[in-house]
Amino acid sequence: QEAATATTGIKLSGDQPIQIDSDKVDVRDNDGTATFTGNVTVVQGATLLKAGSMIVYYIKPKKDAGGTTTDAPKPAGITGASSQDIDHIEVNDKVYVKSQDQVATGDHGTFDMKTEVLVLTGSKVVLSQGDNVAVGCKLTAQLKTGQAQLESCKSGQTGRVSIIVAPKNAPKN
Amino acid sequence: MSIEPDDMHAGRDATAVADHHAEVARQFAGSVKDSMVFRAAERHSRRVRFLKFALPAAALAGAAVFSWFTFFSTSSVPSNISLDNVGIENGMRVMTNPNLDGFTKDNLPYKVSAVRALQEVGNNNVISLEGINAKIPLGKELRAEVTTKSGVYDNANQQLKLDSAITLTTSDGITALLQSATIDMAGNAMSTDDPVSIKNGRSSIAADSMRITESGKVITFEKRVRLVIQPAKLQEGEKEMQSPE
Repeated sequence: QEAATATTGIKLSGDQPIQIDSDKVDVRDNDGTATFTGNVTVVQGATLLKAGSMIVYYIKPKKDAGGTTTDAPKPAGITGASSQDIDHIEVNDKVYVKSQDQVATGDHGTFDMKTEVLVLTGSKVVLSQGDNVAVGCKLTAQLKTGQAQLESCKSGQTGRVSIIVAPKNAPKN
Repeated sequence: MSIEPDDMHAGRDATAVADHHAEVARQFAGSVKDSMVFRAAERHSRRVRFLKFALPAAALAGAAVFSWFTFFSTSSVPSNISLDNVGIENGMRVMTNPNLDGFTKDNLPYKVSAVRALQEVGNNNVISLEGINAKIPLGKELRAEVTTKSGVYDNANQQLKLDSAITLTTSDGITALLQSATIDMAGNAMSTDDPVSIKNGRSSIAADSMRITESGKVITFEKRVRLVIQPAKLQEGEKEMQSPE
């Protein structure tokens, strides 16, 4: 079963500049990817993301009929359905996400541009808000609303999410 | 893909790639939903891609005008070369105001000019250039202008070394500033180990080194890479160079 959802939390503010720092970035046109490596940090407003590496997959556009150069037929995987640029983003090795008072950590994360859902997975995904700490194996955060859901580790432990609630403030949910 | 004397061949590939990216750029500039966290991040890296052929293309065009001194007899002489005069000054063949007007494979005009080109008499493998300016097509609609103070074209290993500040602007609003650039004609690659900064509409990227390899397919920034993407909202007030978001 899942943990209760946290209300305010990891959220995006569209009107803030985004700053991405890294040691290196490789933009590979044919694969339609931009790979940031080496202590990658992404900051937007109060939201901060850190990871060892981040890969931005953008959708390779299909050529329209009148297109000047037609791309080689792309693997069906990435369909250029809408004019969306990024398809999804992957973050790896020690992912840390902080927004206002919520911090989430995991080993691997993906962020889908269309649904604006961040999924953090790993052997130990920790979501903490102030002194309240919740541990599970998969965190699904709706960055539009700031709602986050932590799922337990089915295998291994008895499929339960462990939550530590500090006495003075009960979790608001 | 090696650059034989016919420089147009490489220019053509670059332009073909440029077409593709110009097309891509326009598409994503269309209906973009309200900005989300990483939406613009991608658009930036997508925009950066233009750079990868703008610089080599400019360099190729730039080299074309000066390699003709050495390859005069071979094929594909650019359609129209003009220069004010050729003089000999203390052992250097000095060409003033060399100008090259040519057309790429897609029949798009490009123009490369310099204030002066100097070539040691007897060693026509090395041409040093002053006051370079190149106007080159980037796909059908886009054009780029590259200006730099000086550079040396080494014809032996087909390398153009630009050793002073380089500015590059494209007609769709990308401006790039480099401190230097080494352009490998044969390998169709380009690199710089000096700081580079590229501004493009709402985003800008800066790094201490940049490499463009695999004839423009891969662009790598290294050392203190910083990408900043301004939110769409702020920009709406200003006149948007590209199509309005």
